[in-house]
Amino acid sequence: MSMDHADPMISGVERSQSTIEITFDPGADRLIGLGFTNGILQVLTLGIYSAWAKTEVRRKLWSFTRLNGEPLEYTGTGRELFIGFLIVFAVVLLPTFVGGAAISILFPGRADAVTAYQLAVYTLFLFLVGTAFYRAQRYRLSRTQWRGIRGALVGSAGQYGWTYFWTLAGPAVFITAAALLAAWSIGPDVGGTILLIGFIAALWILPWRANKLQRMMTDATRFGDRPVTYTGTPGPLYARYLYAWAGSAMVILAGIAISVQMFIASGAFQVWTQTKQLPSLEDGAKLAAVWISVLALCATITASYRASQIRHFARHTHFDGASFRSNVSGPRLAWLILSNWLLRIGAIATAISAGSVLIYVTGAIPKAGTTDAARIGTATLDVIFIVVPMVVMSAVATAFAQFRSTRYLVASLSLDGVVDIDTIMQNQDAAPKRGEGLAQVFDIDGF
Amino acid sequence: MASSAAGSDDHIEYYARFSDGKSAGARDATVTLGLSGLEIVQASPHVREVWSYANLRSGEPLRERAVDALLRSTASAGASLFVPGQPFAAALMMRAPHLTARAERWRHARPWIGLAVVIAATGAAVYVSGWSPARAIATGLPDSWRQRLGQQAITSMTEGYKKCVDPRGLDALRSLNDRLADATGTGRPFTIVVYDWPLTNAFAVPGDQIVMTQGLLAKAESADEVAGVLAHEMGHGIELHPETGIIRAVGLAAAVELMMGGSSGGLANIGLILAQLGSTRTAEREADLQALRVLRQAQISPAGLGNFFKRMLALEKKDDMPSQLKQFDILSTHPPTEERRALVERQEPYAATSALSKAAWNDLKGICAITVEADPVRTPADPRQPAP
Ligand SMILES: [Zn+2]
Repeated sequence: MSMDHADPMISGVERSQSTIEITFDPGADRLIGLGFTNGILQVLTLGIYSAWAKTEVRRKLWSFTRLNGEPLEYTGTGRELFIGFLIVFAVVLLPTFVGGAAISILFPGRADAVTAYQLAVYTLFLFLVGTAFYRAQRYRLSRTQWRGIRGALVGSAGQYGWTYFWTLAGPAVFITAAALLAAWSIGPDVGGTILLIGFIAALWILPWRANKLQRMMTDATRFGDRPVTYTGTPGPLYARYLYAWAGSAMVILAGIAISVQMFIASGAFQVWTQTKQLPSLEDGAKLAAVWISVLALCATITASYRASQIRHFARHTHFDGASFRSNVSGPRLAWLILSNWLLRIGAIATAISAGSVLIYVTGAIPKAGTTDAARIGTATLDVIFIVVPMVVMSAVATAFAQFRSTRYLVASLSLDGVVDIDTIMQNQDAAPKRGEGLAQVFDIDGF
Repeated sequence: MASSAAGSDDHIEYYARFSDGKSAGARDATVTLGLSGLEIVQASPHVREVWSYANLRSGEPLRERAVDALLRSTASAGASLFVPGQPFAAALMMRAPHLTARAERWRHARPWIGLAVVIAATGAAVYVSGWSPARAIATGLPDSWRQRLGQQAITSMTEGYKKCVDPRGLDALRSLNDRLADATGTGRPFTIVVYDWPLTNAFAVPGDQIVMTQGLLAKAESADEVAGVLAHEMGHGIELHPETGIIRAVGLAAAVELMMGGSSGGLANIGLILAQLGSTRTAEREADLQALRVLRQAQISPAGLGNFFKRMLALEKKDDMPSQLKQFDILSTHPPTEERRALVERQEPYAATSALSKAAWNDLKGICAITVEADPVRTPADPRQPAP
């Protein structure tokens, strides 16, 4: 618990320097019951409830997170989230949808018009994704409080969105232009080579970019009136990135080598060159096994890089006289991600099997020759049998997965050093009125 | 947590931490469960205040196994009181039952149960009244949009088949089209295109356009039968069924997107399937009624309509036609043949002449003697004039 050093009086103000212990309530409810209730209500309200469901999960997760034993509070409401979503739906999603429909009606059969439209939409969305991240974080911080003191994110979402955008789009445009120029002036082979090497090289911008975005976000973060600061530089990330990059490259090359070896050794390749006959099922299964292992290995390597990035970000994040520290480990993060995925897949598979059994038992299969009313009736019943368990089970899996992620990330976080808690005053900035909208639409708001 | 009166919680003092909400600091305090509210005494400076039970709000609802309580009072903005330990939370549950998980759950669920009832009632009302929002929108679509929608539908459905353009056949088709279109009384011109496609089929697409196959012409036994089929398809057109179907599908997809928070996928397709299944029977009856009206106005016998569909349904049962093709119009018409025949027979007899002269009927049957590649993009400048 807290360790209060009673400092001498300084200019009439009592100063107390305390350590802050971050814990995750070990007796916390697993949120399975809550997920179940949320799923049922989502079905009954045709999905409208999902904003409220998300809020309920957050309220729980926040209250499980404790600073010196006292819980964080989440004060956001489902209504705020829902209105934010409705606005974004009306302003971004619906116009995009209608625009796409209009383009394909006005230029029937013109694939190029549709492609141009899609490119424009993707470009806009890439910009909006960064903005969405920032706005979501701003909303969540403004709705997070401890001892009644709010968090805040100052700064401009547009600026963050723009940085997010150009650090990806800039290199892509540059490389593509260079490749086109080379293809036009020297030859298509050179252009293609430049494109391939260029995009592989461009991956090396990612640690720098992540660090830059982290700095923008952290430096704009406040707890009460006190700023959080970030001092990290991208340098240390690069050694880790080199391992991850080289490791993944080697795994992929090995995967290619093994598949080629398997195909030539089994003769499938020779058969294919002569008769264009596809490889046998057994060979196909072997190939799938090789590439699933390749993917799993790459995911583990990526997770270990992500873990080191989380540790780097934490280490260089300072608050008052203290610095954060995270002991997230690569293998455990990889396992967390993988097991959460398995959890979701398992939940949905269970739901579909349960639904199929229900359909089989009740014999609700649409039959030709019956009246329309009867067919619509049975089809509706089938949809209900499949969709209801699916929505409920995935709500359960989502809540539990979010619980597991939060528990791990919070439990591995600590704050080293002392904080002058008593002098942190309430933040006077106006908090955003509506929920995160955009992030919800892009499904990137996490939890 | 000194207790002075065992057996009653009235005078138990609980340790608490009080925050005023102005700074992140917290002061040690003791709290007792008084008669009308919580009595909070801060240690230094010595401040005593009472938070009435009615004004209390809890961060998380109180439960039997809650290990602590975080409380606020609506009368004391910003301030919060954190009381660690299970006994206080359990004791408070008795005094402030509105803070329990059960009360909170009910308060939370009530508006949602109401909403679910409203949704169900609205759905039932729409279903019972037969009002169709998709139909209402379809009525408001500008003609040029309907034309383009139809062009797109034709392009995607007839891909790989050639258009039949024998000049004498076109003439015969035009005269039949004129006779029927004039009889619709809507003043809207119809576009009828024949494709060199062995399948027996005819379908209406948006923009008053009708696609007919060579297979249908080959199976028809008289011009009256073709006239009956065309009148039925014109009936679909007059009733805006193709437009309504597309709008219903798009609307359902959008609704599913909205419901799934914009990140849907598979569920949208279920909506589409339901949309296709929806109300086809009503639509067929409406088209039949329109067809009978048009045929009477054009002074063509309605017998052809009944005969042709009857024969085709009998054929369909024998044919091992690929099932996905059955969704096309004439093969998906499932009003029982009996009902349709009764409808035709109930018609008051009227003076009728053959839909086409023998010569013209032969010309129409030969319309696919000359075919052209259907160009994918055609500006619907003169929809009645098929491209040469
Ligand atoms: Zn029909």
